[in-house]
Amino acid sequence: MFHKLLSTLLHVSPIYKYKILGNSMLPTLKDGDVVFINRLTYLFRKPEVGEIIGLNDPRDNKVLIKRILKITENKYFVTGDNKQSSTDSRQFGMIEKSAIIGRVLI
Amino acid sequence: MTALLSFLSKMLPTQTAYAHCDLPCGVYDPAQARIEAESVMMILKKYEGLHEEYQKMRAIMIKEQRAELVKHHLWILWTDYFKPEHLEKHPNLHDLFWRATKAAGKTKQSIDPADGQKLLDLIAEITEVFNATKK
Repeated sequence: MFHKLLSTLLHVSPIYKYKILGNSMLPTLKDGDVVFINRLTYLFRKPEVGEIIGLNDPRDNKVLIKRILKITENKYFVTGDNKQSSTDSRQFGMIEKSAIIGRVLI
Repeated sequence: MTALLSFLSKMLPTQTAYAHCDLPCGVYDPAQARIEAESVMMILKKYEGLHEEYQKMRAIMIKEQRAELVKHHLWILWTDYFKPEHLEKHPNLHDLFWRATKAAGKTKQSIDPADGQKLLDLIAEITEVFNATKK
């Protein structure tokens, strides 16, 4: 019952809660930090350069946290703030808007 | 908004978001620290037998450099190789690295081979933990 309630809450919630695993967003976000992703932000406007977003990794659908570095023809180039230790658009290429889950609230 | 976040933070389950690097770029081995510590030990053993001032000065200088390299290699292992799951299995890990890097610092101040041996013993303990994580 409780799990069902949680599952329902997760599906309807405008906000998702995530714990960061990894160091690619240092120094902005560190391993173990908890962040919220607002799923509604980009229903009303387009993502902008410089914003930190949650996205689905185009390779395996895992949720990633990255920053938008560049936008070209409605495609998004995302990178970690810690560029020496980040897997991002430099490896998996630009992402579609549909891969973006929402804006990270920090 | 703050009230909503506060409410949701209590109610919502926490999922995992990855902010990682999946390039296998690091090769780690406590042997790097051990080899430098053995150089420190060698100098500590030979120091008493040196008579010329320039030899003593050079020995101290090399000992200082090698001890610093020991610290460097231990820090890399500590911060880059070992992960929280290793700490769960080896709860003394932080204390072990703290004592080992302290011991490396002590060999800079000292000319006593016993301090060099203490450093080598601590690196041997770290090596045991490291090997256990590879099984």
